[in-house]
Amino acid sequence: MSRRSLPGLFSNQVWAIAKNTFRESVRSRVFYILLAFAVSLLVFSYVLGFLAAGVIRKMVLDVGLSTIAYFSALTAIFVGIGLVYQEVEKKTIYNILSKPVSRTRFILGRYLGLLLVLLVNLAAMVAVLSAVLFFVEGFTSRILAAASCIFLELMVLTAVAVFFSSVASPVVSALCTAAFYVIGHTSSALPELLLPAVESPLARKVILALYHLLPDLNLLSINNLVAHDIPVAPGFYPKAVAYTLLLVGLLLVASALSFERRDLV
Amino acid sequence: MKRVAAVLLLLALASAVGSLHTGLAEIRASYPTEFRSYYIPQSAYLKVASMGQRNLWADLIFLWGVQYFDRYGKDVRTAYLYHTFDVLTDLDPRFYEAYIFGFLFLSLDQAWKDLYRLADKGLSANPQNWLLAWDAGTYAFFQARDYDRAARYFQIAHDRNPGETLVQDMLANAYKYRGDYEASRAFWLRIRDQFEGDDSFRGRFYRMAAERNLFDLHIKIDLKALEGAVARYRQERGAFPPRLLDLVRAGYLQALPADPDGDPYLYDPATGKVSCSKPFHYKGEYGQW
Repeated sequence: MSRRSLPGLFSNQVWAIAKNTFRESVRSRVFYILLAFAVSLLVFSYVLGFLAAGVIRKMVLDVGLSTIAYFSALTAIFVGIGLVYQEVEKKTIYNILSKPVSRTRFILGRYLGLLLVLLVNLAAMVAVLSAVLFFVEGFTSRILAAASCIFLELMVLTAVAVFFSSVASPVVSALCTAAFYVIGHTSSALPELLLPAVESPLARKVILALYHLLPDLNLLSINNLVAHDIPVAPGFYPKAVAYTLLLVGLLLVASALSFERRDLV
Repeated sequence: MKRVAAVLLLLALASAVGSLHTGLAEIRASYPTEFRSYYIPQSAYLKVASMGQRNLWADLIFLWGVQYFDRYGKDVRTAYLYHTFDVLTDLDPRFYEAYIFGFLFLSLDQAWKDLYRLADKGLSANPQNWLLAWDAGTYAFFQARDYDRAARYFQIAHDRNPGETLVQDMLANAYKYRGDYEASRAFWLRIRDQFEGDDSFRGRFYRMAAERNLFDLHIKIDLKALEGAVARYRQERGAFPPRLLDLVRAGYLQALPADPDGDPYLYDPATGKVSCSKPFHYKGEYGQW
């Protein structure tokens, strides 16, 4: 990775690649299929709520926020996995790298482009959820806070997808990114399930150490709090943003390092 | 020709699948109900499987539980009912409606112990919520007729929402039915004082209820004291007192109590039974109990 200052990294070239990635991704059929499914489910949440008399708002909020979280993650995985690999496979990367664009900037541009796609996707789904909530007279502006936290998770997931895409084929990338997502959402069960069953202090320490080594994406979610109108604990947002930025930074540096060393011939 | 053959083959296959489906469904329907019962994994596993969206899974189990409550035989349903609501409230401990529906279904099956378990769980997970305690208390009071339990739940509801007269009313009734007359009297006195001079319908309603219950409690407290004195008299002297006044003369009572209208209580020296000529059951102006 060449030595540059952080603002220098975000040059016009990076934005040009990001814009191009955005245009490319929104032409993808996968993107629209996933978005259509998500929108259908969001609208269907009204029917589910109607089935459970008296619980309609909670039902729409739970189904809506979960749909947004699941489908945004799927979009990040399926659109993100081919971002770098396909450029290499189709050899279109040579056109870019033949210009004065570093590989690090290329990775950064691809990452920001996909984030832009996910942001638009998220905004569309939040708009539909808001409309359904208005319809059931249960709108709360806190879904914007929940969506922001989902976006933090997407920032991490996209960085993971870009990392794997820069070192492996789309199938392997998809499997590894999906595995990261599953581990990220189940690691919190490790201490929850195992600690009550283990008595040895050493084993307990090992379990806790393992938990802290694994990513915990549930830490970023506030969906359950929003559904029950429970306030978020003070200090959550700055810590969540810092956690996300550090993880993203770590993954992007790793992506850039591995991509810099990769033989593209 | 090939295309026609392919279509015919498809139709034949579809028809075979349809007939097998029907056959298998008939076989399943022939099993006793306990073999057709549903299966919901332990909440610990569902928490992991939900991948951070526990509320969604709780909602889906709730919807399923509400829609299909009547589908299974009572024996299977009752055995599994608590588990269903236990799992979904493990996934979403603040799911208020799940507790309310759980109470309703468990009460229909008269599964009181399970209802109390679910209520205790809900009250512990929702420390601000008084309606859960109120709801559980009404099931314990009106249906299970477990007045100790009812008093406990109404007391929790009262502690969480002291200004709610309906809770004070039920708490006073639960105390009365479990025999704690002094505690009940204290609540009715409080209700009467609270609505003193209030000429609204609600004010007159509660004032009247308080007056009638205070009237009844006056009698109950007196009868309890008289019956206790008669029992002690008989234990120490081997016979019932000839008259109630003998209880005062022999030092078992300081004074002879009278009913709220000042009339003496009725006494049968042959059986030692003390009673009042004015029972509680008269209807008030609004017909309330």
